[in-house]
Amino acid sequence: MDHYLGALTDARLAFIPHEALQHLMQMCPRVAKVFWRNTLIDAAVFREWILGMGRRSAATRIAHVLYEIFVRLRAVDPADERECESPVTQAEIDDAPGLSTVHVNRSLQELRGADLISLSGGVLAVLNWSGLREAGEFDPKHLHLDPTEADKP
Amino acid sequence: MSLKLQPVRVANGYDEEGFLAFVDDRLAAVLVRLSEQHGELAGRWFIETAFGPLGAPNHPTFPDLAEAEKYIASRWRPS
Repeated sequence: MDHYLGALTDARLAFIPHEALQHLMQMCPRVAKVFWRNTLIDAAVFREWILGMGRRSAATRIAHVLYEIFVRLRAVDPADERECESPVTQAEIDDAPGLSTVHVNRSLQELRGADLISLSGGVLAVLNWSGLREAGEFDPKHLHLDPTEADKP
Repeated sequence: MSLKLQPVRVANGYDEEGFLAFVDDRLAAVLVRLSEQHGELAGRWFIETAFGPLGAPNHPTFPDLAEAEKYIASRWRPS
């Protein structure tokens, strides 16, 4: 592969041979559609990253990453309370949008100063959901989620 | 090669204390001193922006100006 995968938390991994996957997709076309959709989402996320690296400010990129984390968490657990124990360290946040620790510090300060997020004791909370989305120029459509779900107050 | 520092205030909204670094009388980099908001990095020197051979991003931070000067000198290639 041209990349590696890392788990932020404890995880159980399973390796499924391509042959078994192909057989599964032939038997269940809906599974094939899910994989296809996942590839489309991956491509959309990469387009967002390219745009972010080239055109967006550090604060916008950080807001985008944080908003995406919350949207994904809420897709898994819709009962979520708008705050989460941040599963990522700041070094990992730095790495994701290709920023230095200094720029991430400043961006987090900016987002906190604008009352969009709070971050204390490893707990990240969204204080202004639509404000954070706007700050991150985040369009929930690229994750193929229902926009009304992704932007629920 | 001569390297000179000139104090400056930088309007980046965060870390105002800074120096312009001139190599052979040409501006090569803008250094800023990181403020208290940077936690364990506070007080260290950061290359806010740089030119020419130092143009690539992701420079380290430095404990003092002497270390920053050494770094700039080591990376500078005359054009």
